[in-house]
Amino acid sequence: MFPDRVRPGRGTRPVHVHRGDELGTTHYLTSEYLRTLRTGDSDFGRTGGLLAERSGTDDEIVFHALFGNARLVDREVLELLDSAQRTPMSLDALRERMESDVLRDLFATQFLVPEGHDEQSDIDDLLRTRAELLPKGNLLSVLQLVLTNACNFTCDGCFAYNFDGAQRERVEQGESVKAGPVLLQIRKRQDSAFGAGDWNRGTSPGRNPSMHMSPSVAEHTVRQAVRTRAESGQNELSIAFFGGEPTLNRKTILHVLDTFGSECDGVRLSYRMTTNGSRMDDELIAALARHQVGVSVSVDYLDPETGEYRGGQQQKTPWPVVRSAIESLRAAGIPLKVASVLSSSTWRHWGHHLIDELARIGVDELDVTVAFQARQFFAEHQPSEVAQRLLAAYDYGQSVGVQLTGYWYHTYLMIVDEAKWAAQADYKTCPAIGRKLSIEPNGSVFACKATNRSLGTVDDWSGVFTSSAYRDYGMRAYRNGPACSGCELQGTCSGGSTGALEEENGSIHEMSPGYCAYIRQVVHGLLLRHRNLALAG
Amino acid sequence: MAKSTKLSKPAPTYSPDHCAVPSKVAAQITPSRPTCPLATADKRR
Repeated sequence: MFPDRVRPGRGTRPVHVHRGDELGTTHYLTSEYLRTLRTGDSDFGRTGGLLAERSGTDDEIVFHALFGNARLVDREVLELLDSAQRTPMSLDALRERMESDVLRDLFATQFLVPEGHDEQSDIDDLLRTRAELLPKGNLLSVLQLVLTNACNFTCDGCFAYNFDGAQRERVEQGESVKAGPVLLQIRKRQDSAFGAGDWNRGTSPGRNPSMHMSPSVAEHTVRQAVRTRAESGQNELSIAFFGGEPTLNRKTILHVLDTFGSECDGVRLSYRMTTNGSRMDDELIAALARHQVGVSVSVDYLDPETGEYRGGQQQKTPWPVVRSAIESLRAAGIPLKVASVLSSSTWRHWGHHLIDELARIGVDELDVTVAFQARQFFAEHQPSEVAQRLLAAYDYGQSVGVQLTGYWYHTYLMIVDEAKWAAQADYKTCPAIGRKLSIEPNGSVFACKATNRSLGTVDDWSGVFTSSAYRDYGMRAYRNGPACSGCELQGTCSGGSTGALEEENGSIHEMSPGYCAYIRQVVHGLLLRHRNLALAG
Repeated sequence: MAKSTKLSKPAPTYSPDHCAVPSKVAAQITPSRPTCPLATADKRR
C-alpha cells in the first residue's frame, strides 16, 4: 500500500496521510518490524528481538528494525503493542487503552501502523526516486582521493591491498603492489619529479599503474566534484586524503588545501586524512590545522614489552615517533582519532594497552574496525567471543575516558539517535553505495578503495554516474541483501564494508553470517547498557 | 500513566564515522513521516 498523498513535512521528510485515517475506518497494528531487546535468547546467529519472544522486564527498549526510533517503554505500552500485534485496533480502542501523547509517539515512530501497510513500501518509493537521481550525480557526497598506493609500512591486513581484487591485473601491468618495492621506485625518482607527472591519461580504467596522484589530477577531480555538488543544489563536499600512505604525497595534499581552502563556488569543503602517523612534520601539521583536516591515525594495538603497534610489525618506525605525531596533532587542535583493526593479525595484542596509552595522551576516540575478512576471522574466533571482547574493551574505554567507536557503534547510534538515522538512512555505515567516489592516482574511479569494480575515469565524469557499476552499488541502498530480511538491524547495518563483502563473497548482496552474529550481539550489548543507564538515571 | 520515552543520546562526543559523509543530499533519503491519525481524527470532529 502506498501513501494516498504526500505533502512536505518537517525537515526533509514529507508526511503521508492514509485515506482510511481521514475516513476514520482504519485499524492499526503493531509494526512487524518492531523489535525489543532479547530476553533469554542468546542465539545471535539468527535474527531475534521479536515482541512475542520477549519475557521479563517492566521497562524495555523497543525500536523499529527499519527506522530505528528507539524508545524506553513501560509494561503498559508493551502490553498494548503486544495486543495490537495480534489484533488490529481501531483508533477509539487505542484511545481507551492509552493516553494521546503516548499514542502520538507510537504513530510517529511507526511502532503502530495502519493495517495492511508495509513500511518496506516506503523504501520501494525511495529506491524508485534514487534510480532517477543516481545518473545525475545528485548523491555524491564525499570524494576519496587515493593520493598514492605506496606506503612506508607493510602491515598485515592492510585495507588498501587486501580489497581491490585486482592484484593479479596490477602485477600483470608491471606494478608493484607491495610497499617495499614501490618505495624503492619512488626513492629512485625523488631527485626528479617526485609525485608529479603520474597522470596516465586514458591508459587504463583499472587501479594504479602510477604511484602518486599528481596535483593536476587532484585539482581536476575536485573541481568536477564541486560542480556536481553545486548543480545538485548542495553546498557541502567532504574530501578524504587516502592511500597507501597519503603523506608520501604531501605535495598534492598541500596543493588541494591551498587551491580550494574551505569553499569553492559556494560549496563548503571539509577534509580528513587517514595516515600511519609516521611522517608528520611542523609544516604539514600547520597546514592540517589551518584547514581543520580531521586526522585518523591508524594504530592497531600497543605491546608495551616489544613496542609493536601494527599488524605484522614490519615497519621500522618506532612507536614513540607515531605517539609524538599524535601529541603534536592534538596540540595543534586538529580533530583527531586513532583507528585500529581487530582481526586475526591483531587479535593477540589488541586491547587495553592501546586504550591506556590513548588516555594518557588525551585522545578520546578509538575507532575499531572488526576484521574485513569476516569469514576467515569468525572461523578462527567465535562471534560471541569477538563481541564480548569488544564490549569489554568498550566498557574499559568508558572507564578511562576513551570512546570506542566503529561500524558497530554507529549502527547502535542510528537506532537511538533519530537525526543520525535520518542523515545516513540510505548508506547506513558504508557510503560506497553511491555516496562516495574513490579516485585512484591515475584518475580511475571506484566506489571505494575497498571495492573492485571500475566506474570509469575522471576524464569522463558524467560517464561515471551513468555506468552500470555505479548504479549497482548505488541501488544497494537501504537493503543489503536477502539474508537481512527479518534482522533487527536491517535498517541500520551495512553488513560491514561493501568492498569486503564483494571481495569475500563475490557479491555485495551476500552477507557473512559470522559478522551478522557478532554485530547483533554487540549492538544488543550497547542497547542493554543504554537501557540500564536510563533506568538508573 | 503509561510511558514511552525517547532515549537520550549517548553522552560522550564522537567524531563522524571514518566512512561518514556530509548529511545533506539533494535527494530525499528518508521515508515520509506518517501523519498522526489522532490529528486527522481531531480535524474530522
